[in-house]
Amino acid sequence: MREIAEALGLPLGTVKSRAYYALRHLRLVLDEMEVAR
Amino acid sequence: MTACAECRELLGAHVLGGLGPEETAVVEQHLESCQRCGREYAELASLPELLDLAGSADSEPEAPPAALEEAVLDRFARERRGLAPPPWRPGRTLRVGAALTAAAAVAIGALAVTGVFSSSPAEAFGHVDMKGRDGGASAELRAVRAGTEMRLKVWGLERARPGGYDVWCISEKGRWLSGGSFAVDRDGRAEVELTSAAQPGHYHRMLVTRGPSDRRGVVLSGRVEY
Repeated sequence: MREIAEALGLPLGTVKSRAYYALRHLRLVLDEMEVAR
Repeated sequence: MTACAECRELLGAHVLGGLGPEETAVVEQHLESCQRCGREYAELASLPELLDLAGSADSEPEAPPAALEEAVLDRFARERRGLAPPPWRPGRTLRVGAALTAAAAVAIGALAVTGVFSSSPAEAFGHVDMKGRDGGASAELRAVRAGTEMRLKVWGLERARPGGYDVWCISEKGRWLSGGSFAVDRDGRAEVELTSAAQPGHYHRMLVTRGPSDRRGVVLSGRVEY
């Protein structure tokens, strides 16, 4: 997470919360595409 | 910040194994006591494994994801007709989100693409008439190696929509496969040839939506007649 924050120039907290939103989004996309869990 | 909000902020990093011991303890403690966050955790817990599937360095080269193949075919068809491709419009999706989604698309493509290059040569196998509140469309469907080629005639649609319209092939299970995008002229008409990775027989409805991402913006719909 720290590496990502440095690479993107974002606060660490932002990287963590975005990781959450990204995974949520991914879950949604996979559900829509009916990929098995 | 409430305990739940704090937990959610950390949950993504936790699932990806990116938290230190202190924050891990905070999350785990909360998950034990909170059913809602626990369910959320269960939703996300299997994703890192799928993401690993997407990009392992020693994996065999895979067949191209359906979406990529379709984009290439679509572009080829457009350029052959001398039409400009639609402008690339980056969404408001977070950068990290977009990267993960792309990775997922590769993974899904690898899982989903079967027999793309094995179908029979071009022959009309079906037809679809689509209707909506305004306008309509009809298409001849031909089997091509990549899936389905459709000759689509559209009329009566609201003209000059930025981003144009998108065609979709819908399987009985409700899976959406893109059929490409098109724009209408000032009379609301279009006559285009599009290629979809959807295989004949694998879809039974076709839809036209406003733009590529608004699935509620269905303007035309019809059943495929094989």
